[in-house]
Amino acid sequence: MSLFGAFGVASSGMDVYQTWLDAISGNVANANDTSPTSQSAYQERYLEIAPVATGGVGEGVQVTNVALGSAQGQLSYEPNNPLADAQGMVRHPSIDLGDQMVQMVVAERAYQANVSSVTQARQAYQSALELGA
Amino acid sequence: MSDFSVQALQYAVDGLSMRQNAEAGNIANAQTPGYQAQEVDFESSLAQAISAGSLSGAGPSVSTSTAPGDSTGNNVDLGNEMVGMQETTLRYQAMVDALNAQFRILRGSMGGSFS
Repeated sequence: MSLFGAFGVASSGMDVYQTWLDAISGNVANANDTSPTSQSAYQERYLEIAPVATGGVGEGVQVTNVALGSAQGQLSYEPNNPLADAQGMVRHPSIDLGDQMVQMVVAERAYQANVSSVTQARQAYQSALELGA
Repeated sequence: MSDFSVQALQYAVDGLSMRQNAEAGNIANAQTPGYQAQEVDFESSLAQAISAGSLSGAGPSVSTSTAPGDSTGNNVDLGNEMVGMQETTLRYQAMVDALNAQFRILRGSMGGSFS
């Protein structure tokens, strides 16, 4: 256990949830991307996370992989779109905005919980530094 | 330092510090699929050691929570962990206060100031 162990653990959590928020905002920003049917649609990002197995007390968390959503997306009929093929079809990503919004709330709350960990740990460490004063 | 009160308080501070680390880890992994929450118990071993009059060989124990998990197998209860962390911090500060009181008594009895 390092001297101020809880800080490292909480900051790993903040790091992961910040990355998750970044991925979600990228997904939302690209939800309406249009591509020709000859190319793949924008693939939304999903994070795979796992504990940092230290075997000790208080494990951090880390991003182990970034999984991609469907490259197939969904076809829609937009004959006036310059990207449309001979049949008038274009490709959009199959991003569920509602799902992304729910994930954003979860990631935001989880980030805040980790910030609260830092605050609590700081108070405890601060009092320890005043020992014998 | 052979003072038993100081030793017992130090044991409690160590145990609380370990619990705080465990709680920080549980909060960091609140969304990790399959993660099992860690729990630290030092109170029972401390109570035993105090009634036995010796702290030698005593140590806090770490276990994984047996609470039922959610659909991903994660069993961290974020509310519990947040409240637990507040409590751990306050108890840590109380232990530091008590240690400071012990040191004041020692200092005063050695001719220094009691305050």
